[in-house]
Amino acid sequence: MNPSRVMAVMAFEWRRSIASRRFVSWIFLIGFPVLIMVLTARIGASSQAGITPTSWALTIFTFVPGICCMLSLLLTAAPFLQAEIEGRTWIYMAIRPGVKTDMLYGKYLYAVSRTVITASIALLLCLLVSGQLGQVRLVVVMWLLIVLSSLAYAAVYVLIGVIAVQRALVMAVAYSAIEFGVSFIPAVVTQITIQYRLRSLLIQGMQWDSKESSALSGFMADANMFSTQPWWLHVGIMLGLIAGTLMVTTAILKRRELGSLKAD
Amino acid sequence: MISFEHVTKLYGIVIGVNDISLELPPGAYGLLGPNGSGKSTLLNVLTGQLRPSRGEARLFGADAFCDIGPLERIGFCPSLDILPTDVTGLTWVKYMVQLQGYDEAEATRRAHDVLDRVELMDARDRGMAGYSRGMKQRIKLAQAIAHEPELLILDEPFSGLDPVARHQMTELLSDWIKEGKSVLMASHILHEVEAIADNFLLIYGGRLLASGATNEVYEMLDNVPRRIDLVSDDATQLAVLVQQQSIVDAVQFHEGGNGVSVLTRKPREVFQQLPHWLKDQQLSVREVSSSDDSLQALFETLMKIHRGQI
Amino acid sequence: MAMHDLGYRNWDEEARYQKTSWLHISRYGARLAWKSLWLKRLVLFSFFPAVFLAVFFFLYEQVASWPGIAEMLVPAIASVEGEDFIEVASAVQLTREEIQNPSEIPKKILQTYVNEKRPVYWSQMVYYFFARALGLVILIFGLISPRLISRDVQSRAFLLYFSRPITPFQYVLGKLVTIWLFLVLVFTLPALFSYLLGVLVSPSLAVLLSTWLLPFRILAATFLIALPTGLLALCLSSLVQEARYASFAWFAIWIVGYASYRILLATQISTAASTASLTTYTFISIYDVIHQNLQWVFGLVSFDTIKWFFLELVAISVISYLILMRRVTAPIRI
Repeated sequence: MNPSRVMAVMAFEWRRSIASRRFVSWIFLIGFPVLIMVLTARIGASSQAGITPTSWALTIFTFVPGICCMLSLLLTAAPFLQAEIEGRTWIYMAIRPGVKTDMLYGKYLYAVSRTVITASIALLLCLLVSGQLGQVRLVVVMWLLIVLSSLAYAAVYVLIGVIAVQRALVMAVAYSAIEFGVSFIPAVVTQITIQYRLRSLLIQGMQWDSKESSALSGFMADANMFSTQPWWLHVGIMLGLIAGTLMVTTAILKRRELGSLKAD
Repeated sequence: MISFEHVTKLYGIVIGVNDISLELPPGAYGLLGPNGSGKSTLLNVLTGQLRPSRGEARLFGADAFCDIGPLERIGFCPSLDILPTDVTGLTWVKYMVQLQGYDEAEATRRAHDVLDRVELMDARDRGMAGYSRGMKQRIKLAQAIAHEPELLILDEPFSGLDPVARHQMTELLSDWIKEGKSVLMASHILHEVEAIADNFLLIYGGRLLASGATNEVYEMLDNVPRRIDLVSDDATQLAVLVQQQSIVDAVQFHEGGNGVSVLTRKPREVFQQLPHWLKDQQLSVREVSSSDDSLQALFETLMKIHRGQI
Repeated sequence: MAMHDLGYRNWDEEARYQKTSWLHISRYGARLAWKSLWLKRLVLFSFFPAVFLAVFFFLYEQVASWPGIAEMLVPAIASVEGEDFIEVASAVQLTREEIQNPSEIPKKILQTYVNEKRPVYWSQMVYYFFARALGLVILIFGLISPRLISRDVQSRAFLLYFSRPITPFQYVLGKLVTIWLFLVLVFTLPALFSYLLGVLVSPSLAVLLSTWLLPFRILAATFLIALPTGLLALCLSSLVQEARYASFAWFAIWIVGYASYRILLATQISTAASTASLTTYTFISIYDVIHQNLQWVFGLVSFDTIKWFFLELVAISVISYLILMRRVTAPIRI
């Protein structure tokens, strides 16, 4: 891997992403969580009980480190190879020494950095709308979850992108839907999902206990729904899985014959 | 420089390349073949994009599929003219040079140099969406030569170019070869390749039919019967005249009786002696042509040789 | 006369075009789409829910004839259904033999109840089938539709289409039918097949009398799903040259809508917000809007309940169609 080539790929992708048409995706990804916060605030305003900080945090967690990050990565990470093949520019990459790997990591870093920035802006605006900007713990925990979510899902999506090149986006959506569903099954299987780790870090990071809300108490009563393991263990496991996934992706990419693939 | 040893590439049950063996030292080569003959497959195998189903392909002594070393010494200009539309020519060439391993400053310098060389300096800051076909071909060539490779591989470089652009491309490539660098150019148009290379590789149906210098290829055809058409008002007398010559194998009248077709294995001798025959017999000929002077005819003849029909 | 001296000649023949040109476009598109291995797998997978549907029909029709079942079910249904069931039971006419042999009475009551409620239960089960299978449809449309128009734009194939006597409407119709073919394959045919199986495993053909409307409801449900989703999918495909952006937009619309509605609904419930109806935010989720409309198609709710959701689907269809036609005619508009 050549670090300067990796940075060159990342810089090139950033330069392209600032093109005017691609701003539409930026606006959408930042805008929809904010819109949902506005509607949630409206519901809260029309009720006597109002919306608790825990509910705000859960809503922000669902939309920002959750859906916003996943959608951004669906656009940037999953089709990293499909974009080159569909755009008929893959051959220029493939013919250069070692560029396959450098392109993978360059685009991975681009996807992660773009997602982190997009989600961070969305987070800031959501916190403003919800009036939670003063909650320092919330801000820090959410931002760290954004980073971890981006790193983890980007790794999984690039693996999907190199296995199912022509159908990367659809496969990534199917994976995300299945993982999300599986993460709510109160069984051992949920522990292998990214959502499980992120949830556990959220609850531990916010130092919530089961008294926070009735919904949370039911959730936290099941040992399979979140873990009380130390946060550094969760982070370590995630980083390990990310590294392992990227290594597998690299190995597959090196061995794949892509010269015969045509965009259809 | 290039070595193929019994290379075969299969796409399922479809044969892309069939048992090709050859060794090419540095030089300028034309890879000739009609569409679907296996040229692109051969190039993909050579550059490591595809792994051969059988055999071994080596570029500068290494397998390009497993070893990235050979890729540092080649430049590739593909046939497709689809380029990223949302970046300028300069940005893109610079990016390609950076991917070759150069730092930003060096990449910028090389990008400027090569754009000057291909006469695209005026358009360097324009988005490639607005480039003409000829400009796209030149920018593709630019990214291929910016890092001064030892071997330049081109896939249909003249495709879609107007005559002026073709001339410019020919000059660029000729200058490239004069610098002592190697070229491997794939095309299905004979005269395009002849202008650049004097060594041919003729591929058809995935098989290597023939290889060698231009004169060697044409000498091979010297013993193959070729047809020469003669249009004359004295067709009958002309037929009697040529039929008596020992170097003529057969004579056929044209439909309409306005000329004859002469079949011969020694077309050069016929061309040389024809004026003397006509002068001796006081006959005139309005038109002389040989429809075999085409790539298609060349291939058909070579296929017949391969099948043992000739 | 010199070749270039022909002069301009006006075309004075009648412009003719085949009214079925769109069919060729559909067949070509379907053939191309069918090459996808994943699509074939999804289509095969889509028949499994239909098997469950057929099993339900079988169990429903045969339940009254199983010995001992009626005695267990009649009290259970009575406690759940209450007055509704008592009304059905009261109307049962008993013969002399049945009065003399009271053990047969629960069986007769259950059979009568089964016959009375057949249209409702069958419709409900088909509705659940369609509702669950909608996710599969979204996936299949996401596989096929992004490339349909964007590929033509990228490869300039639309120039070839419109240099032939094909109207833009025929082009759009051809592309729509391409997607609809797969919708019928995944939705309609399995549902109709299950219905047919249900009739065949019923005790008598008299079930047709009470369920004859169901096949038409199935066709109506297909149309209700096909039109807005098909037009939306093609509209997205026509807006871009690279299919992955259309793919992204397609899935983003469904994912964001689905999640947003549920979060807002949960918030409403948890805060007991009294001023808003629980369906206030349904409009955000096209998935749930379609569900509401499907309930009406299968006779589970009245049109009045869902009229705004129906209008939303109409609006999606109209807006998508207008954008789509504008994009498709763009290359030939001067």
